Amino acid sequence: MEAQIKKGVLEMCVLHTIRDKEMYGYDVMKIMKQYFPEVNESTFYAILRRLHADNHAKVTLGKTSNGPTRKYYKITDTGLEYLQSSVDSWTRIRDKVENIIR
Amino acid sequence: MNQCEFMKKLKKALRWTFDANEIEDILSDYQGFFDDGVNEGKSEQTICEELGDPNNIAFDLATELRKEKRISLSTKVMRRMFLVTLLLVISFVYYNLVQKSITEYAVNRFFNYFLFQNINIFSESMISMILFIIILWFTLGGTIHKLPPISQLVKTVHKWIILANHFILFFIFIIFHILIIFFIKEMEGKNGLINIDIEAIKNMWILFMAISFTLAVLSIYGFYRFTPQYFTIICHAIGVVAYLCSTYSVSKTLISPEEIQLNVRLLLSVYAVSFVITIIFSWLIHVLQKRRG
Repeated sequence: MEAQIKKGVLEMCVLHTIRDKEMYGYDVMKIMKQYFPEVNESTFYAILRRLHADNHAKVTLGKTSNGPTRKYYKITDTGLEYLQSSVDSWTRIRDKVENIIR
Repeated sequence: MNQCEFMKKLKKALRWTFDANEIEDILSDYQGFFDDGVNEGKSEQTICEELGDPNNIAFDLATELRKEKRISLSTKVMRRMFLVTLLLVISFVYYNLVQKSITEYAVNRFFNYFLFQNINIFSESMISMILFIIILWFTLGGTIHKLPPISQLVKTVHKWIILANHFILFFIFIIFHILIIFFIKEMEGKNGLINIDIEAIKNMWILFMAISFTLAVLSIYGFYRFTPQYFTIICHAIGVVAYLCSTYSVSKTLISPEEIQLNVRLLLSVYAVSFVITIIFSWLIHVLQKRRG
């Protein structure tokens, strides 16, 4: 049960993390890992890639002080809409379930 | 595990599902993660443990990016099952095309009673070719799995290119067989020249075999170099093996057109069987992946 619920919300959480400012992929993975320690980092990495492929996130390249270019992920306008509708769905379902199990 | 081993394993695991550009992109990302970890003072082993098993990474990526259209073979069990199945296909191909025992009768019966009755070999070959192109379309098109919307157009164009390639190769193959049959039939009319002409035909056949073998090896190398997907490579290698077996068996008996017709039918049957195995296999993987997730 938990795995199925997680499948739905993880993408929403990742998208929320990159909503306000652009973030380095690894940082996103580390932050998500704090909230979901039982989930593999690679899952979050894969979610970031899919968000990029679906055009919900855009990638900008940034140079670091010691060399390698880093990929920074930020939400796009379509991503923002998608996030909003995901959060709405989540809130609706959450409220309904809370009513039932109260 | 150190960084080198990790990256090697990851690259190998990714090759089953992703193409060269995607692999390079993913590997450079992970290279960056290693560099960051090292900057933070972590040891390579710690970083490897944090990042996880390369096989699982490749599997997660494949699942998340809905790469089921190309078979995601990033687990050892899947790969072993796949290779065993392919070995069975190769043995089947060799046994039936070189030895040509049980299937000879079965194949002829099937072709004569269920598909073609008294059509000449040219029409038969053309119709068979079209039938198998259609089957190829469905196995490539992945009717089992849904394609992601953005890449659908690209994949459609790509599919046409693949189909065109297969069609052209089949066409050349069939035409060459037809030519040999007509050549033999003409020679049968003239007396006393049979021996010499058989030799000429065999030499022509060996030349054709050498050319197509070279082309096949080049195309497999091309796959390996530019779109390193093991699944594609192995499928085409199987095709080459089947083709070599058939040309070898034909070269042994280039006397009668009926023999040649049988060989063409056998080859087309093997092709059909390999499609069926591919469909079953990708359906199996799809089911197992669903159960996992």
